[in-house]
Amino acid sequence: MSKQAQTLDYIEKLNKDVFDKGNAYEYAKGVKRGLSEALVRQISSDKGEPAWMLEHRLRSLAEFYAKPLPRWGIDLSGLDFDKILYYARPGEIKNRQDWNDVPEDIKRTFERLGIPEAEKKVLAGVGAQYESEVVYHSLKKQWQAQGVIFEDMDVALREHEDLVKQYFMKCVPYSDHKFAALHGAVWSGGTFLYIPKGVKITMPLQAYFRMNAPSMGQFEHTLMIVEEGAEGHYIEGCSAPKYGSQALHAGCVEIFVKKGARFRYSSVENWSKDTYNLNTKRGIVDEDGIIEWVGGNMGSCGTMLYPCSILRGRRARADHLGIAFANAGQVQDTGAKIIHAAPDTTSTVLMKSISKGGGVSVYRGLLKILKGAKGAKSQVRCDALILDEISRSNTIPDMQIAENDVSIGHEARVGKIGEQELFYLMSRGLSENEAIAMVVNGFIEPIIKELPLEYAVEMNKLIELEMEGAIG
Amino acid sequence: MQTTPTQLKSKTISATQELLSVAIGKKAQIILTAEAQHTILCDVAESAELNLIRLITDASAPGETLSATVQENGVLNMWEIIFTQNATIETTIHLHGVRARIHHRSIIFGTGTTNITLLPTAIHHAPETSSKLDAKIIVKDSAHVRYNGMVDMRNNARGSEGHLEQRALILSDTAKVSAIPGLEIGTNDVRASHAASMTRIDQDQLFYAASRGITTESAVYMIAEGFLKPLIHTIPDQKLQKMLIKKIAELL
Repeated sequence: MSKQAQTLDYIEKLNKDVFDKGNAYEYAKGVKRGLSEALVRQISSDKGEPAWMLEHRLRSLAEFYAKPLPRWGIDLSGLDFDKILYYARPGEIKNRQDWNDVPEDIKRTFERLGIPEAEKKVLAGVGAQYESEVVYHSLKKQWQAQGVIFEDMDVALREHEDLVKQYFMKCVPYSDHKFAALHGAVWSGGTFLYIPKGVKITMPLQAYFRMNAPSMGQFEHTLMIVEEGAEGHYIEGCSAPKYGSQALHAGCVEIFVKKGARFRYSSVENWSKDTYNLNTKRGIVDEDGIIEWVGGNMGSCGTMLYPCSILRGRRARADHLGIAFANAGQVQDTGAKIIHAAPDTTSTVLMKSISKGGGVSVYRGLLKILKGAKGAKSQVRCDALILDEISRSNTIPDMQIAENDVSIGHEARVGKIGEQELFYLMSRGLSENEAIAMVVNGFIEPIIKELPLEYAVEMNKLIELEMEGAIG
Repeated sequence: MQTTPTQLKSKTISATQELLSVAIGKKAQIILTAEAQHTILCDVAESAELNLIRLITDASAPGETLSATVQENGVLNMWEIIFTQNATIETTIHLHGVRARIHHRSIIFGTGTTNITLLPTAIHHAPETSSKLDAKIIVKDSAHVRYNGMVDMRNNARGSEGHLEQRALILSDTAKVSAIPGLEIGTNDVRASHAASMTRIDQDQLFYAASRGITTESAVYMIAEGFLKPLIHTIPDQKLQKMLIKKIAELL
């Protein structure tokens, strides 16, 4: 069977509704909607957190109330902070080491998302987040023996308090912006990864997030520390069922890449179309370290997500790869932020965006070269594909260069699928829809090929779903 | 409507006139040496062609706004030559008619403590319009130049083309260049692109020159001149070209 025929075969079998339906679930604690100091204290005492964490939460909360909403980017007027469920936990489900122990209805949810398959294949550990608590967690023994810590954030706070305290919100301080402050106040769950000096993890570590309660916020905290000379690859995917009220995702990802270390962070985010995805991702890279961001933004009604790399050590490097797909009613405001703070640092950015059905995709980037970052090199490229005449694509790359011994290049292109390309494919017997899907697949291929197989397949699936009915 | 361009006028005015307009089918060339703070309005009628050269020097006011409209088949060629200390120069070009064209070129030389902000915007309101924004920037000493260009294609700009290109040469450790080359594209049947680069003079280039007995000073001059020349040569006024080359030599 040809590759195209295969593609079309699985498109037919797909049913997008599985992503739009949630399981009915009794919440163990009837936590009220809306934000208050009492709620923040309750989260902290429920989790049995140390005093410094409660103090941090309360400081963040004060900051959240003090900070205004951003006056740029997407329209956040539809966001009602009082209607959001900030914290929920399903019953007694806690960390399980074995898939068989996971309750049936939760398993069904994951099976729809393809998790067990991923597990069966090479992916090393699964930390699957189901409603703010990690329910399933496994890590290959060999990594454990080498001192790798791959834990649910709440557990990590209990068992590795010193490590968490040393790094927690040191990369993204709560005073950074309103949503970082909100995150600092109500964060819950997430993933903690610690790779000790010199340990190289060859298989990707994986976690899958999923929101299931209507109007439920997701404030997971991801903290990754990659020690000197260590290597790792972490992947996360996000999918939320569709509900009628506005949900918010304000997660936070902090990555510390130490001297000579290398880390890749891949994520496929497919939040439901009523979710605001206001995620903060940032990494600090030391001497000779390498950070790689691979990201796909598909769902949500509005996304504001700009993974940021701070290159503070000599010869540090950052590579950003990303795809954004804006369909009807969506604004994908994404980009990359790179701060060159040391000599001989290099960065590359490759972003691809697709707009369709009136969707708006925005590339908003920052490239900052600080004084003293001699010999810094940066290449930024963003390509946009607009599939119909009502969709939009904006490119806003901010470049601030305060050093002369640098080499900076930026390129952007916006266009549509050429008539000739389509004509050629159609003359080979493809329908117009198939031809468009093929061109789109080719357009995003440089990024898809950087994802592990399962994710590449899922990403392709999602793109195909979004592409349905591109004609007429 | 179509009339053949009949006359080519070239005149130098010191922008006291607020409205510059070129009548249907006419061709004109205007050199503007602005002296006071101004809001200049410019109108290029159907099938008309205007070469507009703006010289912005220390004598100019710190704020300059120019708003131009180009009608069907009209062509506006603009040159902005900037050798000033502090200025914010806002240029907005509305391409109102089908097949209207704008080619906007900026030559910016920042020295001393210069602080210049350029905000050129081309707005495509009609089908098959074309815009080209080219900028060459040289900064030395502690000059700071911001170039926030924008190509904005509205929903009915099908078949349009827009290109934004910005090249900067940084000659000192303390000079700064910032840029936000923006694209706002509201429809699909268009071609739009932008490119930006910021570089310094390569040590290899200087070494090559030195090995042929050229001092660093004159090598820098040659490279900087070579960097600006392609744009300078497009200026349709020989006298001005010569004056510019002389001025660059002085500043370097």
